[in-house]
Amino acid sequence: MTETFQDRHGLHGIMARFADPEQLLEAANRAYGAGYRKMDAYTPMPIEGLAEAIGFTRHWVSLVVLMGGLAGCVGGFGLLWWIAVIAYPHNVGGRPFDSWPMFVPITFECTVLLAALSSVVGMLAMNKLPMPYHPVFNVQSFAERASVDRFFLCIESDDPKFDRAQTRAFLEQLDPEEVSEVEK
Amino acid sequence: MTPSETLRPQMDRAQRRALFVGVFALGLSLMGLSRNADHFWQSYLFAFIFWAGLALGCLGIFFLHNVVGGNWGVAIRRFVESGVKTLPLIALFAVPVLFSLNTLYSWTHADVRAASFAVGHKAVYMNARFFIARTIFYFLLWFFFGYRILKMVNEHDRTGDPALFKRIKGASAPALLIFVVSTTYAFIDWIMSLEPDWYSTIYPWMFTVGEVLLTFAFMIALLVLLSKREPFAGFLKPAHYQDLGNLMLAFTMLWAYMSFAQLLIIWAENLPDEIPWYIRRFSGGWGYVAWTISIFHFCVPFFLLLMRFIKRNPNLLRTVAVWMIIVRILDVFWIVEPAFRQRGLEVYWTDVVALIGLGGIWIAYFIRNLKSQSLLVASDPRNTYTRAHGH
Repeated sequence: MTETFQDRHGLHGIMARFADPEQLLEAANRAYGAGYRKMDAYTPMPIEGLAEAIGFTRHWVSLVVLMGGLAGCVGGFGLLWWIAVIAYPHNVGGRPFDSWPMFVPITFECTVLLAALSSVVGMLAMNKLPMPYHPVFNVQSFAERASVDRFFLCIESDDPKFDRAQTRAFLEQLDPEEVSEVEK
Repeated sequence: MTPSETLRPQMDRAQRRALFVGVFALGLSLMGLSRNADHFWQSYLFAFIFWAGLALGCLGIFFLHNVVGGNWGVAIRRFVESGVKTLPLIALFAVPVLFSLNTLYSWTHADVRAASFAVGHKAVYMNARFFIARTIFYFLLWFFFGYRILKMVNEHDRTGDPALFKRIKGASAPALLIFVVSTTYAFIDWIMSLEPDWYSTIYPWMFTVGEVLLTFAFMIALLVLLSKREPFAGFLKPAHYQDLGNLMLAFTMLWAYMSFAQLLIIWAENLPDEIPWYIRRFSGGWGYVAWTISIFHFCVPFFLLLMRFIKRNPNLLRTVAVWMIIVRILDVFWIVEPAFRQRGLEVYWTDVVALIGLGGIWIAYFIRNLKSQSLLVASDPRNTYTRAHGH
């Protein structure tokens, strides 16, 4: 038992390499169907349906963007309103101080600005980037080909269903080119 | 290959019904002509502008897709081409307008020209004879470019010749430019000149963008209607809907941008020769229409179309598209009719009947064009969604 315990903690996961995206998609679906939840897929280009296949269905970054956009909208409008009505009321051709139609372009720009910035910052934060070290690069063929022409599925060791021998056997029956253990 | 055999009888039936409803409604509206000719022609102009906008939207999207390419246009190509081929019918619809210029356009009256310096000054350009000549010229331009490129496209569908594909692209780019300029002039003539002392440079573009938006909504609704049937059932992917939904979102934003830019500039200037256009459209009940348009033509569809799951779900996307068609009718009505009905919001029964009348005939003709060819060109070189990894 002690050996298994050590193995689990010395291992990031088990990774399978596939030659084409259809195989990876199929493998991801099968792994999810078999009950695995903590896994990640690595591809050189975006693949339709892959995120859903590994159970990544909640896009929290869109909520962050919405919050950023709303903050920009309220902030931009509030800033103009405060300037024009409270801080520096100025009579322009007899128009009311709170001429809100004139505030709309700036409000819109602030909304877009904060939404865009929060999407970039939110995306980086949620991906934990920048990340100087990641265990998957310990696999030789991953480091060489993951961004060129091969497709990888890694089932991670902190998955409750993870078992060194069984997970390996499971991945091997999916017809991969190679199955390798990923050291931490 | 023509539409599959199962769809053919249904298209025949839809065509017959549309034609029947159209002719019946148009006949009914002619009763309005004998009762109150002014009201009839106001309604007729509104209906003409709306359906002409849809056909012209097809022409614009046809040129646009030929120039920029993309998967979004592959699924709706035949619809758009069938719309382009309804332009002769639109020209026919325009003929009665040309015979009723005196009723519709105040710049034809000598006393109006004499009373207003600006309108009198414009008489060199805005006179009945030149107006008619220009309208004929616009249609000739649209026929020439539309049918010439349509012929090349049909040829390309048969041969798949890559050199011809490049030539289509090359011919469509100037055609797109000419489309934009000619619709600008056409909408200035047909609707902006209803209030001949008023002018706005963004107005024709605002209108054209609105009509392209209408066309996208129409095409999406039609695509979802046919999506369960072959050849679409095995072809369409969520990505097709998402692309079209994104385009509808982009044109919703562009429409809002232009409409608001015009409002902002005229509101801020508050000049006596510009602001009356908005005073008319915000007073006496028209204001309710204006607010309805700004909320339901922009705010609601904008937030709905931001959401990815709506764009990828055909039924939800169709709901937004049908919604968009309804508010487009409202927007065209709000732009055209206050020019006549300055006492306040008035809706005549002929407004509804004329819209249905021309619409029924237009849709019947559209279906007739749609039947003449295959509904889908899967061999289109711009189709990459279903070829790269098919199932």
